[in-house]
Amino acid sequence: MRPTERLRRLIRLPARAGSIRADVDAEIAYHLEATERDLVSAGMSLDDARREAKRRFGDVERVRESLGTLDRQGARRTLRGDFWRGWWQDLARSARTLRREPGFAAVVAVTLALGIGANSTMFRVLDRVLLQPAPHVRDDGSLSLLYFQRESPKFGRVTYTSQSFPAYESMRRDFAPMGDLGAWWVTSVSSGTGGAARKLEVSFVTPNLFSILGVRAWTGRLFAPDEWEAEAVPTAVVTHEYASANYGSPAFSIGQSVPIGRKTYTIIGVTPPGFVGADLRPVDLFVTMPTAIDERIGAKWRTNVNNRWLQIVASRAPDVTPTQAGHAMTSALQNFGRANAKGDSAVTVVAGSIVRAKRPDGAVTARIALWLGGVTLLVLLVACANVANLLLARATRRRRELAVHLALGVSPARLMRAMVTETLLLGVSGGVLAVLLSTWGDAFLRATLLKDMPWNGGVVDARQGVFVALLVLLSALTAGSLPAFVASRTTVLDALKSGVREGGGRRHSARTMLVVLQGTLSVVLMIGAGLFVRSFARAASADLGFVAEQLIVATPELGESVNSPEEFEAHWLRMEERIRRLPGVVAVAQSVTVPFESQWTYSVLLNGDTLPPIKGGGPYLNGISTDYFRALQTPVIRGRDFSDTDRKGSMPVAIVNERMAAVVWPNVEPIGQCFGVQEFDGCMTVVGVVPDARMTEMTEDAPAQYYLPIGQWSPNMRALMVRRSLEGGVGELDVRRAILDAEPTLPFVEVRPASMILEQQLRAWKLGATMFTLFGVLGLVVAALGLYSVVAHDVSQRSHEIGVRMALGASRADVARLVVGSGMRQALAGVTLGIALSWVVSVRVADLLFETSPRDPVIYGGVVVLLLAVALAASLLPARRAARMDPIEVLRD
Amino acid sequence: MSLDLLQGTLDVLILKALTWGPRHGYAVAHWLRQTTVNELQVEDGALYTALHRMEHRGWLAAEWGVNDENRRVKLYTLTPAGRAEFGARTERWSRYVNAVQRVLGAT
Repeated sequence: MRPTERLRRLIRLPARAGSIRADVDAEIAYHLEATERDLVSAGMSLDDARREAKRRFGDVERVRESLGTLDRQGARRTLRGDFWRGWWQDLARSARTLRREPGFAAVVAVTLALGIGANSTMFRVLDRVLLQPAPHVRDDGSLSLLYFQRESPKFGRVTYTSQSFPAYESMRRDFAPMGDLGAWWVTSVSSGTGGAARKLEVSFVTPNLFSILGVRAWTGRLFAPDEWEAEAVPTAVVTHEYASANYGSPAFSIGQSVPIGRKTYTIIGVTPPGFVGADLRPVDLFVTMPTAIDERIGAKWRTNVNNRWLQIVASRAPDVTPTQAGHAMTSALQNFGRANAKGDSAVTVVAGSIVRAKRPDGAVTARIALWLGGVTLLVLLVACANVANLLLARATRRRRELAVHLALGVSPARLMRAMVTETLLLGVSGGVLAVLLSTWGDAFLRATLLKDMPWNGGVVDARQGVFVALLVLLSALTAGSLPAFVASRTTVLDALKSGVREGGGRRHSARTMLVVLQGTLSVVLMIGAGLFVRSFARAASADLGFVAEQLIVATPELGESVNSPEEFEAHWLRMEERIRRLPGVVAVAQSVTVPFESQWTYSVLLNGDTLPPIKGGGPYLNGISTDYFRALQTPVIRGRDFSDTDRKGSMPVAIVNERMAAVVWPNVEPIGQCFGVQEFDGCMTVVGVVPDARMTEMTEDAPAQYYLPIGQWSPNMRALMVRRSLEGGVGELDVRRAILDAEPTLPFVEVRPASMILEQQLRAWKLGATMFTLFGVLGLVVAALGLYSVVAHDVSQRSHEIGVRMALGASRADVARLVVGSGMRQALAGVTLGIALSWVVSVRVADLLFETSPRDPVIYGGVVVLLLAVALAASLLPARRAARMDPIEVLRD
Repeated sequence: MSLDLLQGTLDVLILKALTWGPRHGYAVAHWLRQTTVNELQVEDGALYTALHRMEHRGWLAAEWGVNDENRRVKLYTLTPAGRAEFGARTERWSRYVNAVQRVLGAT
């Protein structure tokens, strides 16, 4: 055997085409020669022998050809087999190696799992909110949600989603050749009366909505497209969730009756699980509009052009583009507007995406979700950097082993492949863990961000599975390629030279870079956390102008059983009285609007002119009974509170807040001033001033507000504000019972603590604070571990050098300083970069913050201190070990 | 009169030839010719085709070696798979021959 041949076999290199031909030629030539020789020695002449040998062999050329083909095919098969066997070997070997280092494998897998898990959870949310239409809604691109846009000089382009019924009908008629329109409106309706009453989310639909959305009945039937007129017995379609929760199984719900408002409905069908209509707002059941919409919208709902309440979805014919549909409906609506409603004549109709979050003016949910997606991606980056770091450290530890492989002729590419396989194996275990983690993540998100969002599908759906697989591949390649590259470039000679000191210099630049990167990302995450925590704290402790604690808000609905205004007031007084008798109740008052839930505005007139817009909004108007300010614990700081003498017929009076006073009567005593209100005759005299209150939304500027006594302004909208004593004793249930005591036939009475209403206002900041803190701490821990491992590794590599230093007289403190210094230098680099990055990026979240500058020096300073402290702690441990080294022992080794 | 080879028989003859250890192609051909006293007609080319085919099927392992005259020759060895194949084929062949003989010997 030729030596090169032997070597080729040893390192499993397959034969090349040229050598195959040569081998075949040699084999045949030898055969012919040998035959000839035998024949000659048997007595044949050389020429005869040659002829006979050829005759015995057959067609030499043909055989040569077919042997070559056979061998080439064989070589290819071997190559392919080797390739796959190689992967299998790599995999098996990786599994063996990792089993030998369970700690290392676990750390890497868990780190990756955290990163991938967070991302797969966020992907699910983004997919649900941004990428897919609502569950079970036809997804063939033929559906559009309608948006209406109007240019106004004051507010720019305003986009809204609701339209009046006559406008809808007119648009539907004109659009007919190009497709069809369906409409719906979701609202809370009381079901049943008295103690058994509850609240249902009811979607009032046009009967064609189901067929437009392409949804089929789960059981029973849905409304037929022409099932439009109110029947003697109205029918309802319920969602799968409602049917399961109330009747045990969807099938049992068919034929059951449900009281909704003042009517009783018979259930005829159930929608598929998860279906709630074209939007993501939760719904319990669907009824057609004519059955009960008049109770909500008014008897003239079919003709009223000024009340815009329904949402519209369009299904376009196959050849109609959204733009064409938009144009057609715009002209339909403008024609309608010119004839019937001036407001609609200048409106542009946009046939937008069926995915609500892609609305043309941008949705807040979408923005928040995208930000969170970005943040989770950062976490994955930190995780990848850390894993890369660990792998690098390991590759350095294994330099000898790798060098031996290289020396034995394993190609660097093959070595790299083996290492990437190892990372891939780690990535896959991380991915499996991540899927487990993301089931918890789902539960967490469902409880926070997506409280009101229907969620369909199992624990992990197919799209999420594909996404996780992609992430695994991506992160394994990201984290694994650098270490693999570095390892494959190991120089045999250096690594095999025994006794050579490793460390120092360039070999660690990659690891240092990774630690700096981790530090940078952690700083960004921590600053994000700081900004949102501070916003949340500021918003939670913001001066509302009233005290939300120990305040209970009750919103009974009297309905239309009341015949006269006097009777209406009597009902309210009776409820108020009954609650007042509860022990522990400090004050009860009637209020037209509920903080953060309802507002009322009428333009304010000063000497006949409308008040220009005020920064912070308003002026908002509220009608209140005498105990209102006592119930809300808002002091009247100047003038007087309303009293029982402020009633119909007496002098019209008003109380204004400080902002309104400052805007309308700057530098003038507001008490005794007088202003007009659009809807009222005459002029309201200001009798008192109260502090500003945030009651519409949690903005930084409080709006202007004014209050009128309920005796002088008595709209039908009403709520009860109950202040209980600090010792408590009175609960929401007591209040509800008292109300039902006074009015036993009331529909559902909603009684909530005001703090619950406030909580919803704080949800965005709370979510931001939670997510950023969670991920920030995660990033910080991971980065600290990374720094620790680099410094510790450094120390172990430099032990010889440290020993020499100590032998030459360096004190233990000197050594510790040396080690800590190198750790802190890396941390400082990360902190500097992170601060710079945050400084630039944070401005983009400015409008999501509350009374917090995106460049708040306290937060930035705090993060710097925190990070440096963590870095110090991470490098102190190895420094201590370095300082305790015994130079004699180290140098002897 | 010489006999044409029955389909597939060449393989089993080659396997048999290699049961005594590694041989090169010429040795196999030579042994066949001697053993059958030229009764069986085998083209040497067909023999090589069969050798290469069986090599890639995994029944034979081939290796380049050096013979007594220091010439480079390709040596074929039975692999365990080849040995198993040989056993199976031999048995099948005997059963076949026995069956045919029983038929022909029937009176």
